[in-house]
Amino acid sequence: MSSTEQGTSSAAPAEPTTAPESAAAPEVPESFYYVHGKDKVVHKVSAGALQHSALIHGMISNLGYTEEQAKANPFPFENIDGDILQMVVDWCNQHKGKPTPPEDTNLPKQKEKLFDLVLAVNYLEIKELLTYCCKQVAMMVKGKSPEEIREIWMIPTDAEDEAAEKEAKKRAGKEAAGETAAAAGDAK
Amino acid sequence: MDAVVPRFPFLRLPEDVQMKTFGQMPMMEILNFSLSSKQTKSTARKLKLKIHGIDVHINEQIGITVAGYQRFVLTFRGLEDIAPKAEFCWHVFSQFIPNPGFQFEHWLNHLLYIFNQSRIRIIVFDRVPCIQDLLSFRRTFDKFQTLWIYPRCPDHVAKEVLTKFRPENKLIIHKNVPDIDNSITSNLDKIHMKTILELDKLLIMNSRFIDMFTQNISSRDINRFLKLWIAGSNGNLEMLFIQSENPTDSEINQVLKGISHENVADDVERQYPDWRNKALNWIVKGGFDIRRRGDGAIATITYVENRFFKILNFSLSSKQTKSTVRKLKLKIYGIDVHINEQIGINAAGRQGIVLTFRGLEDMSPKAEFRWRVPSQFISNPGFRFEQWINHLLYIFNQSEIRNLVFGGVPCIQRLLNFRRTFDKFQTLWIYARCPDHVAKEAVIKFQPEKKLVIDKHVPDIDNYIISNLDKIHMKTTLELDELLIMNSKSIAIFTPKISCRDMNQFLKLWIAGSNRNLAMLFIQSENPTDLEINQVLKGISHEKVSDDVRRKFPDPRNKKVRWIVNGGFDIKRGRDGAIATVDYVGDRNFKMFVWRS
Repeated sequence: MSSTEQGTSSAAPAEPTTAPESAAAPEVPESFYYVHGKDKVVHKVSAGALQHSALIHGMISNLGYTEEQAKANPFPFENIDGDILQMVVDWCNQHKGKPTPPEDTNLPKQKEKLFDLVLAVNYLEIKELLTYCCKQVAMMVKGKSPEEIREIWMIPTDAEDEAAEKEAKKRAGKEAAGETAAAAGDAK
Repeated sequence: MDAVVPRFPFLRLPEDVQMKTFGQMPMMEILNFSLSSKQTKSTARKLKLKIHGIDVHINEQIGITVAGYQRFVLTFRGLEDIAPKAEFCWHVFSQFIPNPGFQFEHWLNHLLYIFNQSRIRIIVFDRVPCIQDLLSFRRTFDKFQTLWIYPRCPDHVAKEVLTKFRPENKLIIHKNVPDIDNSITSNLDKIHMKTILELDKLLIMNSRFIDMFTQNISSRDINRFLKLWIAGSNGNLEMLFIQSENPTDSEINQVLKGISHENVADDVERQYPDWRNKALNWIVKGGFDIRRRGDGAIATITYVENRFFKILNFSLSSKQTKSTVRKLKLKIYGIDVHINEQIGINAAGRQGIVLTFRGLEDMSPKAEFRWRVPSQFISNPGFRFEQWINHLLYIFNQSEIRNLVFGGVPCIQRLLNFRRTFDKFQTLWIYARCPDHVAKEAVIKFQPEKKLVIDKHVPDIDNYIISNLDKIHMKTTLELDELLIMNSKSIAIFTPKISCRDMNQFLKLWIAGSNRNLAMLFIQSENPTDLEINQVLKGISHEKVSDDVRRKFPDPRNKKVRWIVNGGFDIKRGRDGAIATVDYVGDRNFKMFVWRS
C-alpha cells in the first residue's frame, strides 16, 4: 500500500519506476525525495505526494535538487517522531494527486498520537490534514460540559494556575536574588 | 469501572492550531470551554468570534441574546436565577446549559468579555411591571447603544427607564409615553418614537435620523421647523420622517410658505446614501429642494402617501374594486391570526399590514403598515374581525389562514362562532402564556392542516393530537403511544425525561414500519438523563458511523436548509431499506434523521 521505503540514512533508496512505453501519452518520470524523522529512518516520497506540505514543497523549489542530490540529502525533521512522520507520509501518498475529500476517514485513530501528529502536520504545513486533525481534536469535546472539557483537554483549574504562577514568581525571585548575590560577589 | 477518558494537552498546541480547532466547534462547546477556567475564558476572548452584538431583553423573564451568525439566547426566570435556559440557533433548539453558578449580571459580563464587546448593543424593555431591582445593575448597563421600549411596557416604567437608562446611539419608543420631553437624550444617531409632535421636541432632539410617528402633522409647525433648520438649528440632521396616524390635510404649499425652494420633477430619482449602512440607498423621487443659509446644505422635502394603505382603502370601495385589487396579485407570505387580549390579523409580506381589534365586535381596528408606515386607523367599512379576515383572504388570493396563534387569551368561547372562518389553516401555534384550559380547547376545536407548535406542557391532550402533520413541535411528557400516533415528517419534543426502553421500542417499531412519514425526530430532555445509546440500540442491528464523518441532511420543509449530521448510528428499515441515523448528544438530546433516496 504505502510507497515509502524504510532503511537507514546511508542505505541506497530504490530507483523510481518509470512509465511503461506502451502508454498512449508519454509520461514524465516521477521524481522522488527523501525525508527522515527523529529515528533517522528514511522515507522515499514522490514529489506529487509532497505537494501537500507547503514547507517541503518550498524547500524543494528553493534548493532545486537533482534526483542524485535528493538521494544523498534526505530532508531531516529531527523534531518529528519516526512513527508520526510515517503516518504523515502515508497520508500524503494516499492523497497524492487527488482532490482532498471534505471528510477523511483514513486518519490515524490512536488518540494518544494525535497531539504529536497535529504538531508535525502544523510544522510541515499540510493544510488539509491539519483541518482534519483539528476536527478530531474538536470532536473529543463534542457535547461535553466545562468540567469534562477541562479533564479531556488537560486544562488546569484556576487554583492550579494560581499555584503555578506563585511558584514561578517564587522561582524568579530566587533566581534574581541569586544573580544579585553573584554580582555582588563579582564586584568584591 | 470508569471508562478511560481520552486526554489531550490542548493548551500546549500552537495558538493558530487552537484557533483552527475552535473553527470546527459549535458555539455551545466554545461557550462551555470558556467556562472551564479563567485561562480558557481568556483564550475564548482571543478567538475574536464575530457577533453583531449582545442584547438584553427585559420582560417577565430576562433574556441575554448573543446576536450573530451563530445566535444564542439565555433566558433567566429572574435576576437570581443561576440556571438559565439556553437556545442555540438554530439547530439545537433549547437546552439548559451547565451551571457555573452565575447569575444574570455575571453571565452578561462573561459574554461581553469573551465576545470582546465593550458595551451592550440593545436593551429592550418589554412587559416589565417594575424596574426597581434592575437599578442595582445600572453599572452593568452603564454603556449601551440602543434603548428600545416596546408598546407593552407600562407608561410609568417607560418613563422611569428613560430617566435612568441613557443610550449612546439610538432611542426607539414604540408607544406614546406622556411627559417625557425632558428625558429625551439629544444628539443621538437615531430617534424613533410615537409621540404628539411638538416643535420644541423636534428641535431638542438634534439626531442624525429622526423618525416620528404622530397623531397629526401641523403644517405650521413643519413650516417653522424648516425655517429654523435653514437658519441653522438641528445641525446634525440627515433624515427626518414624520408620519401621521390620521389622514392629514397638511398641504405642501403651507409647509413651504415663505421658504425659497426649487421644485424637482416627479420623474427625477436621486439616491440618498444611508450613513448607517453603506449598502443602503434611499430613493428620493422628485420633491422640493431647500437650502441652508450657513453652509449651503441642500435638503429635499417630499410628501408621500402610503400606496398599500391606498390600495386597501380602494379595495373597500365596492365589490368591483375588491375584485380589481385581487387581480393585482399582491405578493404576501400569508395571513396570520394572533389571538391575545386583543386580536390581530397579520397579512405578512415585504409590504404587509397588521390589523389589531380590541375585541370581536371592534369595527375600527388599528392598522400598521409594513414597513415604512408604522400605524394608522384605516377607514371604517363597518367590518368586524371575521369580515376583515375574509376580505383580506380574498384580495390577497389566499385560500386559507397561515398561522392561528393563541397567546394570553383568557377564554375562546366566542371564537368558536368563527370556526367556519378557521376551517382551514396551516399552523396552530400555542404560546407559553396561553392558559391550560384555553390551550386544550384550542387543540380540540381548531385543527391545523400542516403544523402544530405547542410551547408549553398542556395536560391531557394526547387523544387530540392530529396524525400525519408536516411538523409537530411540543412540550409534553413523552410517551411511546403519543410518538407513534403523530406520524409527522418532523417531530420535536421537549420532555421532562427520556426512557431508554421507550426509545428502543420506538426504533424497533419504526424498523417494522411505523411512523412511515418520519424524516426528523428531535427529543430533548428538560433534565440531564442517564440514557445510554447502547440501551437504546439494544437488539437492533446498527452500524456505527465515525464521529468525524459529517453528512448533510436536507430539511424536508425548506430546500435551502441542510442539517449537519456528525457520526451517529445507522439503522435500516425492514420493508423499504430506508436508513435512519440516530444519536444521543450531550446528556439531553436524542436525534433521528431518516435519509430519503
